[in-house]
Amino acid sequence: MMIELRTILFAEDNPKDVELTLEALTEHNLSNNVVVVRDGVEAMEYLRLEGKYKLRKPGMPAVLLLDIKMPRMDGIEVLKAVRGDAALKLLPVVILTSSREEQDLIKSYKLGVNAYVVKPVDFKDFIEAVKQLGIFWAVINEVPPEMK
Amino acid sequence: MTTMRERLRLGLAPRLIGLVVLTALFTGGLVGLALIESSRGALREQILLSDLAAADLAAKFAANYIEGAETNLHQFAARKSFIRAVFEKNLAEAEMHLVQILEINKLFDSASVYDAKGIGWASGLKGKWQNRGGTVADREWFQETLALKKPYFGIPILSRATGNAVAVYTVPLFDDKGDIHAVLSAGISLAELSKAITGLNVGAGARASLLDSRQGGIIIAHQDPKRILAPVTGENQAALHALSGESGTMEIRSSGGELDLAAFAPVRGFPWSVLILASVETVYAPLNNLTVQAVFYITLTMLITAVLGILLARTIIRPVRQLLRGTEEIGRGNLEYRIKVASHDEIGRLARAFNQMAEDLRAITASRDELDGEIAERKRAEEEIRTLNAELEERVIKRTASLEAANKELEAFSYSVSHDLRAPLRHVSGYVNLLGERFQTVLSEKGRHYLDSIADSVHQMGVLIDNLLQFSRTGRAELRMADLDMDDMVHQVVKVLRQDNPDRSIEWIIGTLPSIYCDSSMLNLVWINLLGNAIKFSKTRDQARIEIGAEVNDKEAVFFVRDNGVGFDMEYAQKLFGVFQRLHPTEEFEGTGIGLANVRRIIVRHGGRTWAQAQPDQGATFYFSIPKQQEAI
Repeated sequence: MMIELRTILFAEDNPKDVELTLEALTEHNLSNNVVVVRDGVEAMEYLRLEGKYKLRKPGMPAVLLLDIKMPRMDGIEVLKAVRGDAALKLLPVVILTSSREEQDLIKSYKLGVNAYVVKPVDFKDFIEAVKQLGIFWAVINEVPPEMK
Repeated sequence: MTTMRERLRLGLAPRLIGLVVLTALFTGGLVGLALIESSRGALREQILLSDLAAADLAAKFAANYIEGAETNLHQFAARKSFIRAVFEKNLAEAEMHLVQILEINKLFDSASVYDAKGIGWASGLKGKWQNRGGTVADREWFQETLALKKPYFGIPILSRATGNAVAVYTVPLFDDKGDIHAVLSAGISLAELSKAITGLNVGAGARASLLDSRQGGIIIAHQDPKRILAPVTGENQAALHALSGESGTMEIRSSGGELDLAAFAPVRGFPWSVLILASVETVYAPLNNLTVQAVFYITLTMLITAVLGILLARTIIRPVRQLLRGTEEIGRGNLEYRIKVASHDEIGRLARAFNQMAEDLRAITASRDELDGEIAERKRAEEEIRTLNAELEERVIKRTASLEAANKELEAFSYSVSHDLRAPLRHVSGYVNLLGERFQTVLSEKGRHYLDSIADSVHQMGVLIDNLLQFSRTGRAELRMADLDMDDMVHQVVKVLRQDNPDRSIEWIIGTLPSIYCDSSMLNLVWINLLGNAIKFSKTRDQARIEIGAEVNDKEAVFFVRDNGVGFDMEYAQKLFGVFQRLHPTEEFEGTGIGLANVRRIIVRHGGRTWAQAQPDQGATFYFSIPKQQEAI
């Protein structure tokens, strides 16, 4: 079966997390279309085709995987900006974070997050979680027509 | 106050004393004067009376005296031998009788016989008689005797026979025909008479004298011999009264200007009067003595009265002063002051009334003071409460602020722990896993064992961090209070636990549990922990037995979970509810030791208590209480 792999925008400042996450996705052949940005500002630049992403190939990612704690602009702020942007507000956003904090959860859901995933400490669990995420958002989930 | 006291000190006492003294002086003086006056009058009266009596007495004495002489003469005139001798002209015989007359009474100055023509014939003086052969026809006493033909007392004269002052007494001697044959005469010596009269005791300083009323008054007896036969002068009013035959007393002013007291009385049977004169000074001497004495006694009486009056005034003034002092003391605020007055008079009553007033005042003041004190105390207490409240409020605000700040910090900390602590852990776990998988063939058995151990520890640490975060959350999360059916909750928890432990044989005994007002998710955690523990620590029992029950009183609901597990030593009971406190080795009973700490924190936040009862190997019972309708903490 031919799987149509859509782009995953992955915002994460920690290179180890990036590596491990990519490892996990690679294990399931999901890492090819992953675009990694180091913070919220870069994420927004990518989405708005600004800055160094000015000349990128147009099109929206299938999902935005957001870490919360990032330099310059954190995940919650990115989520807020996305939901506040008429062109971006329908973009599926998944918070992928270490924080199990209630406040973060509440804030995120209030801002209209599509999923909130706590990174398991155990790597096997982590790989499983990332795999599920990748498959679901990059393969199974249908994005709204405008976001294609 | 001072001036008033001074005024009183200078005023009331001397005024009162002055009043008493003046009254004493006035009444004493008045009474004394009246007494002196009446005494003087009485004494004067008495003196006058006694003087009058003396005058009377002297008059009687004079009369008797002269009558005695008359009688003597008449006795001789009646002698027959004498008469015969006169008629027979026997001179010797006659003169012998006449000598006897002079001898009988020394009052007689002379005793003589004259013939009818007044020629001197015989005398008791015999040879010394100078009237022998001489005539007395010119003499008043002779002429009157002849004319009256009776015995006669002649007007006093200076005798020619003796040269002495005499009053001649005559007795006519009659012949058979009744004619006067001869006249027997005797000169009564006025000097002797004076001696007798003035010798009479007629009172102190008094002098008696005898007056003849004829020829305008002649002094016939007087203490001064020169005044004998002197005429009575008209100046002497008393003498004039005496000469007119009156009897009485009067005061006269003498020629020397001195006041004399005079008493006068007639000599009965004679034209004579007695006049007694006494110097008023002498006579009234007792009167003056009386006055002096009276003045002395009156003065003494007044002095005593004054002294007594002063003493009496003091007895009045002293309590008045004490009263004054009392009012001053009270006025100064010394309400304990009492006046010591024992008397039962008006002042005593006043003092007692004053003391009563002071007592009442003290009582009122005391109760007022007490009230004031109470009010002050209450005010102070209120003020204190207000201050404390304010302080408390401020402290609550500060504490709340600091708590909020601490909470924020804690949140930040928890956030960091949650995010930043877990991240490296996850990385370790990730790389260990990759290492194990990618370099499986390179690693020896030992190497893999090491990697497993690392993975184990990482897992353990992950659990610890999660538990710690949860514990932190149970302390910070806001309680969402609502009524909760505890029965329902416990049954659900038990159901889950049974599913989680399918290979365990557990007998569940669940009593009736009340509904309580609480945070259901928190209480859920409590039950999971307590019941999880009960299952865990009874796993060594073939047949575990877990009992759940509750008791309700009017203040709280007490729940318990009892198991028949391994129990514990009560010595460590207080460690049970501490964070990461464990009473059993991890190899025997897994767990981090956070569960009971969470239970305690949740129950405490509900206002309740937690405690446990156990014995090693005899099972354990855990209790918690939740007060009714408590406020969330």
